[in-house]
Amino acid sequence: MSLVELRDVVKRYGQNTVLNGVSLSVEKGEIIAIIGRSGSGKSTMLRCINGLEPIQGGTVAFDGTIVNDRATDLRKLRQHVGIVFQSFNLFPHLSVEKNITLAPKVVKGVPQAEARRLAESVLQKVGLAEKIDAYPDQLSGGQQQRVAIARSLAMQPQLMLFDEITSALDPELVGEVLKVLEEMARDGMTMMLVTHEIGFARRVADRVVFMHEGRIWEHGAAAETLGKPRTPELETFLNAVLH
Amino acid sequence: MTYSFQFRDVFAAWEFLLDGLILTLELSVVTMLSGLVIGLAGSAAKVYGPGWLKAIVAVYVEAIRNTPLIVQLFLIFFGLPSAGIKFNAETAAYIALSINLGAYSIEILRAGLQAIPRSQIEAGQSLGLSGLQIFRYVIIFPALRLIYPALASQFVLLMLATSVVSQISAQDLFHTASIIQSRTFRDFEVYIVVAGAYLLLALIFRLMFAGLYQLIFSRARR
Repeated sequence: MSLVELRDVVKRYGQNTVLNGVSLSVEKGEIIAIIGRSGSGKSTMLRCINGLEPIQGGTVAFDGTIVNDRATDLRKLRQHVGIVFQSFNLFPHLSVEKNITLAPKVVKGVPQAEARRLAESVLQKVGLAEKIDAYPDQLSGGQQQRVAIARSLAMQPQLMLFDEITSALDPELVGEVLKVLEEMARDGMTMMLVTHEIGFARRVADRVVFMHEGRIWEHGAAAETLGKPRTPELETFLNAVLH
Repeated sequence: MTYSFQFRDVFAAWEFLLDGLILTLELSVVTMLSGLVIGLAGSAAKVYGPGWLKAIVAVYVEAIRNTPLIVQLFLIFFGLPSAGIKFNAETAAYIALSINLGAYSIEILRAGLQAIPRSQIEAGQSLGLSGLQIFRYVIIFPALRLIYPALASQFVLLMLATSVVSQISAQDLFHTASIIQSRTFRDFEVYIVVAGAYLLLALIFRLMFAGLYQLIFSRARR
């Protein structure tokens, strides 16, 4: 059984169809890069997987649980699916430690001392152990994004979703965030990332999914898909982002 | 035109004035607390509640904000007894003031809640937090910080507005002043003293609210 299974997913905002029959399976340990123009539906697809976006047709399943089933306990499901956003979305009034320990404490009931150790260990992973008592507005964008990753990791998810997490960063800060992702990849984390970093996708992803007009237009092994696009749309897209 | 001020008779009644001042203080503090509670519950209902609840809260808020406080007070103290519901003057004062401040607090807090970006709520949801947990840990603190000055200002206005309860013979500062006036005929002196007392109270409340802001929202306490 695949960890993530999308079947004929349809998503509409009023008259506007954003996802038009998307099917995709992701196996445990896989790293999937999702590329495409803005408006092609890639972020929406990602947000369907943890139920942030309700869908109008098809099914989304995570680890055998139907996400779009009304009876599904989304809170429980989301404990296993981490997501990191383009705009970090750290809680501005909480210190780095409290940003990270909030969910473990109130959702899982982890005691304070253990939660603190947990925060230390995930911050170690993203290389920010010394920032545990800082506040979000005292950190650079790259640091904030790494804290956001650490916050997700603290829930020990089985799947991590990354929604254009380097798009809001200054160019010189992109590298430090991508480095964290590479380390997570080495640790065997299952990851789906919407990205414009084509070089990174080629280097780290197992598969690349190219979305166009609400559909998966083309997908396959990363090096092959990015190296020899089969459709003119992907070729045009790659030419546009690489030059 | 010469007028010689004569404060002696007024100050002679200082204990009586102090009693009034204490009731004014009690009315203010209790109403601020109940107004805050009504405001929190009502604004949460108005922003996150189901449609029918939003409608009920909207009717309450608009009915209160668009009628005079003194009319609300009279409805409760003189009107309700016709329906068999009787309160003494002080209780009626507490109820009317709380209902009144609650409506204004709801509107102020609503603005704060709506100013919290949707992305903050999504971040909470994505971590598996429940709606109530998101409200408590993610939303309420930044929302309160945003609207704190407006809310504090409304609370001071409420303190000044408590003076209307003298109209139903609740023994507040203004009511005691009126009684002293009728005994001494020193109108000018009495109302100067009372104005000074309200001014002092308002300044104390403003200082206290500023201090409370530092205490709650400043990072220095870390």
